[in-house]
Amino acid sequence: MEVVWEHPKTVSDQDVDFVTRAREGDTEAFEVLYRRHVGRVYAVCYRIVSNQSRAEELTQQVFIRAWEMMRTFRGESAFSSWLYRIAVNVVLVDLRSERRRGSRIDLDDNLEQLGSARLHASPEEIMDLEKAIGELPPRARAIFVLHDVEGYQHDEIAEMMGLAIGTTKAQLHRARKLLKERLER
Amino acid sequence: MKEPTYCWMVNDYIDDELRPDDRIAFEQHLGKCLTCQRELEGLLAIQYRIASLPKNMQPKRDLWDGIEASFHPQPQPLTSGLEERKNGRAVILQSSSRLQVFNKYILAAAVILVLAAVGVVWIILNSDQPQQLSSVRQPDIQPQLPAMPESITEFSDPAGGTKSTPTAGTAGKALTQRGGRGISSGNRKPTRQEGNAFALLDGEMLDQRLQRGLNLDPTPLQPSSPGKIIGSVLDERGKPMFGMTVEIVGGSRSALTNKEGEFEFFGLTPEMYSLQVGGMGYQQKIISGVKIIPGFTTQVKFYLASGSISLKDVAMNKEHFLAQSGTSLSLSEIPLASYVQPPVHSNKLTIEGRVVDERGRSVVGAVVLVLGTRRGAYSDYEGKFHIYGVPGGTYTLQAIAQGYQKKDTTNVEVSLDVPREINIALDTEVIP
Repeated sequence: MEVVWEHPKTVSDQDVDFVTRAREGDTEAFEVLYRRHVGRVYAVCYRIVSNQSRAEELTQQVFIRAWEMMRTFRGESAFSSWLYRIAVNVVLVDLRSERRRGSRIDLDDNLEQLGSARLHASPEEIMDLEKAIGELPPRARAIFVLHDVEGYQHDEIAEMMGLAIGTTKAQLHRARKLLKERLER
Repeated sequence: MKEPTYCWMVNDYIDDELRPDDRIAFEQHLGKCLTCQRELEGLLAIQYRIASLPKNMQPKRDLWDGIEASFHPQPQPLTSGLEERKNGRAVILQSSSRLQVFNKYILAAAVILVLAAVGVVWIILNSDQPQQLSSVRQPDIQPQLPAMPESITEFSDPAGGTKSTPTAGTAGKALTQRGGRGISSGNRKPTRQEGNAFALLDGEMLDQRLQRGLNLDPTPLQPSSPGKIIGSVLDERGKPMFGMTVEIVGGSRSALTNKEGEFEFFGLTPEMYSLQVGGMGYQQKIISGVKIIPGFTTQVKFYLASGSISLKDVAMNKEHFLAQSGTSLSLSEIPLASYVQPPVHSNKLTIEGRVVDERGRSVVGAVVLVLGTRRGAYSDYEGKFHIYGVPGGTYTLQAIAQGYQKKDTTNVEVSLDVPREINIALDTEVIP
């Protein structure tokens, strides 16, 4: 029985053909890549901006940017890594402009989006955690998501955000402290 | 004074950021410092919970169409200064990567500038020297698309500038003057209310053109010609609501209603849009399924009950006019249900449903695949799943969940006419 849809984490090798076709302008191939990776991209955007509609806009921007930059992708890294890096850059640019405009935190009790929860955590636990992350100060939240959720290192985060490593560490520690306090309430 | 230094190291310790000698020193300290032990336990508990966060979160709506729309080049070459400025807006939206630094306010300012430029052109054309100006104006106006704001003026009576409300017949005649309207229609400046009434005639006149098989418009419509949304926000008594924010969901465009409750979006890529309306004291509401047809104007009318959050809406376009013979111009007389379109894509649909166990309890995290396609989804905390972008057809759904037997649901028909809510009951896996 043929099953052609798979979890994005297991399909990086299968991205290659679609990436090749997408680089040649094949939008259908790019749609396949979109379907495979939109969940991860949206998760990064949502957790950092903590706003559903903004996260959707940013997710669209990420894929539009990726489409425009497809010819620059040389396959030296996995497509997913390249795409997620674009996502982080797009969302950090938005975060900076958001800081200039004034912080906007719009927490969504968006249980429906927790559909892909791993089985060993209850939806309620995940929801509490997502809410606690969403309540963090924007910059601390971004650094926390990038480091503890997405697995970026401090030097990478510092470079992407234009901060000193000491600053990203301090912000991460602050975020964890706040998160711990909120989860223990 | 060593204690604070070591306690500060807890974060670096769990991040493996300590140098080897510091790590050893910290571990020695950890054995005798209850504060650090508790701090470490707390941080590790958070790390454990973080590890349980889903890496993927599905957006509530399918974003693909909006992304795909940005791939297509704008259809018309930039042939005039006026058009170039207008199309510039679309170009801006297409090249989003270069414009991420632009925010909504800059786009709004650009729109205001464009409208101001249109206003200046309008004032010039209505000045005391129409013949002289027409020779300048002609090349600018000629290639304009039919959905531009000043197209309202083309519906004025070219013969004499009568002030009576134009009928479909006079409007039809006006269409024949499209190329030369700068000369003939420059005698009368319509009031705001008249302009609105003319705009409402737009769809009907175009329908008449189509129904009669006439090719009165010298500018053929391209499949990817931009379209326009015009509309108004009214309260339950039909009173215009001023200052309501209308946004295109998923885009970066928004508009405020004027004193007549009117708003508009122009230069829109033909596709389905969702509009969100809200304002002070009212809950935001999203209206889906507003369809843009190339070169045509889609009209949207919101009825907002005063003092409540209920919202009635009408989304209608050329197709709906075509479906009606003898269409009345009064939108409120047209049955609402006939004109609210389902939020679907042209040929891609959504399968929704729920995964439960034998006792009807939700199964969280089940993978539901549409066999033979690249579509699938996880069930959420209520067991619900949403699979976007499925072409019409008949499929087998396969549900897989930890602790349950794999379940195939065959002959799942996906079409516009058939409800696509599928309930899947899984049987607990029997371990021999």
